[in-house]
Amino acid sequence: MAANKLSSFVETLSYSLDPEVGLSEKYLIWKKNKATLWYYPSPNKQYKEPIFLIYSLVNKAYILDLAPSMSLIESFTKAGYDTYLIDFGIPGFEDRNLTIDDYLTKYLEKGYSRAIRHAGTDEMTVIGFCLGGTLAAIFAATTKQNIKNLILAVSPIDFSTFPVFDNWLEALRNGDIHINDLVDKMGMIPPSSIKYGTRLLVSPVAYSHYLALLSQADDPHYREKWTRMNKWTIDHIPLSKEAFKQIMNDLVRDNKIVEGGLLINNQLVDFQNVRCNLLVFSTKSDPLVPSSLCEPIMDLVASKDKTFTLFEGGHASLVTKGDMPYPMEEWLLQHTTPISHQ
Amino acid sequence: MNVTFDVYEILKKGGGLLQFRINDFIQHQLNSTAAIHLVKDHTGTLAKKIEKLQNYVERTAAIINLPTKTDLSNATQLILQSEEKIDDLDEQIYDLQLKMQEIKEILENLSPSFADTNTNAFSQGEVIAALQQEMNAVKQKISKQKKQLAKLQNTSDNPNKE
Repeated sequence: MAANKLSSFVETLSYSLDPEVGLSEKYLIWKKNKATLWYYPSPNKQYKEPIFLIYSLVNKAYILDLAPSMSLIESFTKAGYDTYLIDFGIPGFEDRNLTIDDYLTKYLEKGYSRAIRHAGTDEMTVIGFCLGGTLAAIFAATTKQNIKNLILAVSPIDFSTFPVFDNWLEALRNGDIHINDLVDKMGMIPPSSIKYGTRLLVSPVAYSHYLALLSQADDPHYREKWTRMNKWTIDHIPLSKEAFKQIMNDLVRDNKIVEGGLLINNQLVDFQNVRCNLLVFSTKSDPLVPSSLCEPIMDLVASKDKTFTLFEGGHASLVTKGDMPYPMEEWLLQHTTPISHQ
Repeated sequence: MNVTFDVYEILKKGGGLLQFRINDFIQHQLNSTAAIHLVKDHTGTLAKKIEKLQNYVERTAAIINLPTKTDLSNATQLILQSEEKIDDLDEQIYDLQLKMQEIKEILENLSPSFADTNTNAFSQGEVIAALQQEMNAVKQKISKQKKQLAKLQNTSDNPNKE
């Protein structure tokens, strides 16, 4: 048994370096610059309001569709929800001046309107993951389009405190550290910087995932999932300098979502404009985005129907299980309109 | 009593704990004022060095006639502008299509009342024509009777003529 595990471990590391991901049936609906709007049809559509997914700017969106039976998107379509995904793509040097305003108005606003047009409906359930959830919250506060439900998954909102590196946050706030000049010269924040920056926050030395593989190397399903998760963990994308500066200065340093004063296209963002049904969920073991960063959105919005839920698991574990997390499934059932079959 | 140990499970738990402690130590060390000052002192210098290097590359590329990343970026910007315009046009065409559809529907709703009006107009014309025919017939009868009356008057005035 032990020898089997060791040989499977070596085999997994040697031959599964580039597993196939994103295998669910999908159709391209709209494309602009690097961004793509994907449509994942449900084989048995049962609900009027489709799901519109927004993913982060610094990771690849295939984490939502790792492989059959390891795909959150598949769990949505199987449950009867038509699903749309706005994938911001991989920006190049020519996109170095893309701002958060651009992502919101040129890609998110238009992508959502295209999805609405394609679905032939008036409103959707918008789900944002990680930084995509932060964008989703700002989008919900600024858009004139209808949103039926808003779900924010492990999305940072309140940057007033950091679980680690609190002295750095203080130095950034005091003006001891200026990032603008250096970032302007770089143009794009390279994927390696995103990768090591994230790793620094979470786990500067990371080998425990290899030990986890070794202990379960005799399980083919676990090996399949591990190779895909491992691919995603190191597969970051570059970020434009302007978007990075906005995130660091407006969201992190000045904490403008909570403190107020966030401007998008020179318009003040008022989170009291968010009146749709809201579900916010966070995980208990997430050193990157702990629940203290996510929960404060509950006090900012004007939604009457709002719920905060804390799950077991880590930052990405919720989206890779192949099933919708139970409270989310139940919540969606209560907040979407079934199509009556006549 | 036989007790079995899963070596890999023990390795996983022990290794995880050790990793946590190492990371905690590294993060604690990096969160120090000394590390912050080091970054603070060198960020400006690094930015200037990067700028100098980029300027050298731009100048060298100009001399040997090679496109730089900035040149390619500028060319790509033109494509992106065109794409933006096409996207806007596409939206305008879609809006126009929606409006045309709306107009078509409004016209379709209006068409039955148009048909009624046409039918009425047609029947009114027929009625007028029929009335005119009747009037003509009456006129003809009156003119006949006038002629007969005139004849009768003539005969009563000159009875010897017969």
